[in-house]
Amino acid sequence: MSASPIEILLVEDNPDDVELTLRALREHNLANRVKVVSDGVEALEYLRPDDAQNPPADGLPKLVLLDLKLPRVGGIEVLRRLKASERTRKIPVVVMTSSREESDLVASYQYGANSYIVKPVDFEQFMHAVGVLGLYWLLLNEVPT
Amino acid sequence: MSNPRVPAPGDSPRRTHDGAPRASRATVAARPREETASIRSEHEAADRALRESEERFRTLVESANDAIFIWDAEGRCLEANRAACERLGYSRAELLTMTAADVSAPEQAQLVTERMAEIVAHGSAFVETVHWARDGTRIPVEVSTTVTSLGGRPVFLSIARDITKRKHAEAEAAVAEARLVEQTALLQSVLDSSEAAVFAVDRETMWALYGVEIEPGRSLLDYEHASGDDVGAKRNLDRALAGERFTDEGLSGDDERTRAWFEVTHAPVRDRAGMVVGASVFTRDTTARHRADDEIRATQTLLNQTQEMAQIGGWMYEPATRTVTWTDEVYRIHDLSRDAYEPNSATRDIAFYAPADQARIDEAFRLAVSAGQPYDIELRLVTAQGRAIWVRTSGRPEIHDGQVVRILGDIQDITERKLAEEEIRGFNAELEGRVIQRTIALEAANRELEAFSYSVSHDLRAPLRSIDAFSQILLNEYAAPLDAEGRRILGIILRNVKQMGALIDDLLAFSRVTRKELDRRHVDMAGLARSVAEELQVAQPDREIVFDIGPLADAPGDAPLLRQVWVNLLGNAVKFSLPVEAPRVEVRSDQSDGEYRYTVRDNGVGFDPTYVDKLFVPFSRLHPTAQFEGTGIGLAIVARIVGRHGGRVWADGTPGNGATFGFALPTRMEAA
Repeated sequence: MSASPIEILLVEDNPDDVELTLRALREHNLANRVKVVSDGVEALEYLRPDDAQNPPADGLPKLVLLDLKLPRVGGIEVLRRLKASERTRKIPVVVMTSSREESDLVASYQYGANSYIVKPVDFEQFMHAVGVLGLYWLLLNEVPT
Repeated sequence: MSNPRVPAPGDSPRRTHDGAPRASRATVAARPREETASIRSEHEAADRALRESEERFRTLVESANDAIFIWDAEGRCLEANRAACERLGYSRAELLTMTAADVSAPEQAQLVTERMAEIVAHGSAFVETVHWARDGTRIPVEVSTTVTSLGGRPVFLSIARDITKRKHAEAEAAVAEARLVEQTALLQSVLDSSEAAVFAVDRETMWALYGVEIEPGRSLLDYEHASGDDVGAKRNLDRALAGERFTDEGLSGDDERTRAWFEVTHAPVRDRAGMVVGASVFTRDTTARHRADDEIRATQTLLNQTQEMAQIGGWMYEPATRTVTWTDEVYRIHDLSRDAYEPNSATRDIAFYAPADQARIDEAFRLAVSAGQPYDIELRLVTAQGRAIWVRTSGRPEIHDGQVVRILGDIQDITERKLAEEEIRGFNAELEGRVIQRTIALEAANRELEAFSYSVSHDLRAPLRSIDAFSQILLNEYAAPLDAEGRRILGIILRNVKQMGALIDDLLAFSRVTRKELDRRHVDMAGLARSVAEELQVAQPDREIVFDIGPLADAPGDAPLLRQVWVNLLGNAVKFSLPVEAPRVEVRSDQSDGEYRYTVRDNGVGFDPTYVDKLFVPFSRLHPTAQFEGTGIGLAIVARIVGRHGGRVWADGTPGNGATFGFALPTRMEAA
């Protein structure tokens, strides 16, 4: 990755999903500055929500795409820690998951998720969904600086 | 005290002459007077003799112990001797001024005239009367009166004998007699009022001295002989006559009805000197007492047997005497024998209770005695043989005039019941433990199921997505190297991926129906059915489907789940009606037998009723997927939802002639 600040942090452990997501983002020219981590620990190490003195080297992302079912620290916990920190709470977090469980949905919104997307099984729908949400959160949504 | 009959002053006592008795003068006067010397000497001699005679006579009269009076025809006293003066307390001079009535007691005075007339008529009389002395003393006298003549005048000569002592004796005798009669009457009435028969016999004659049953002059032995036991009777009488007092009990009569019990007491009869002069026999009929005793014994036996059978002992405490009475069963409960133990509630009885329970029974008993407070408690007790048992004991005080006069209580061995209770408690605890274990296991199973669902939802979907996505990419970006067959095969892969995705979604839906808590409310079924029908209509804009939804009964239930029922039933009806010319779906409801029944009828392709049982089984289908889309979970979900509401489902159909699906919900929602 270059020194330029990254725009999207993708937290995803499934390499197929990583590839498909990146492909979908690329389709919409949004894949240039994506940082991929494969579990919750790595996500927290990168974002360091509890360490105000040492911000991430590549800067804070404009969007976090967060899978829920992750090795080690789960997505819900990552979400909770991000939204509990003054420094990281403003970063929009979009939960992208295969789970249709009501409990996951409720917990995500309870901890301040900005969107909850069930990954469509259908590839075209998937490409479409990722493209739309990337465009929305990166280009249309205004975030306080 | 003045004597009213002392002559009043001026009333001078009459005197005849210088004191010589008139009788002697009368005698003298009766003789002829002679004047000759010889005669004179004769006279002198005669006079001397007369004087001597008079002297002797006077001495005789004056020394007599009886009072002697001479009264004239009018009852006036002409002469009275010394005894008369001394007895009545008057001087001779005073008496000579008095009448016969004056010396008589007042009630006798009025009879004097009458008596004098009687004496005149008969020449003499002998009467008892009462003289009255100067000092008021009444002197009973026996008076012998003779009429005689003195100086030609009739006079009365009375000799009065003092019979005071005799009268006293007579009076005493009369009192004694009266007392005897009274006492005899008293004795008689006492004996008569007693139910006892009393005989007394004389030692010498063996005749009855007392006893109504014996005729005078007959021996008691005659009667005893009549009863056929004269030897025994004689022996008993002999023992009494020998000075022995004893009581026997005897039985007479041959059978139970006429049998009579007697208690016979023989005793010596003694005179005042203590000599045995006879014997008394005191016979009492004790049959009634014996019968009463028998009855009490029978009642007690019955009570004891009943208590033994019921295993309830009875006890009684009397505060006044501080005595305790136990029935047999109480002894049995304590493993005691009646001979070996005497109950004493204050101390010893309480010691049988378990030390930890003694304070309780002590307190309860104390309150029963002092405050009349009843109790009913269960305690542990250690019997005389060391058996540890449970007893239930109660006490009910009887109160009269605010005083506890008696406490009646019972005691019961409840060891078996206690053991049973403990056993039941054990069972319950075990059962509860099992329920807890099962619940834990169930919760674990539920958690596993949830984890499984989560895995299904997440993990199964992810590879599917990859298959779908990369197949799609292959199809899109590498279409050129693939020939038609290759593309067809990729199409098959993609179609199956979609079908599997649908299956996963339905499986999760089915699982959610099972796990979801029912939220029971009043549900507008017609409203639900209509809104679902509208959605279906919108989803099929190119087909005209007629929904005929009648008025439907509202039902208690979970609205979102019941909505799912309508979605699946109406959706099925539409799906299987699409091939026909004019699809029509009828929805109806009615109510009977405590349930609301709803039916959905279509005019679609119908089904073969042979396989009706398979309709509600998850993932079983009666039609090929190619013909009708679906995973075969819809009706299974309907059956599951209705089942959770306590209802039932059914289906009816023939191939090519439509189908009817129905479900019924209980009018009253029961706990699922």
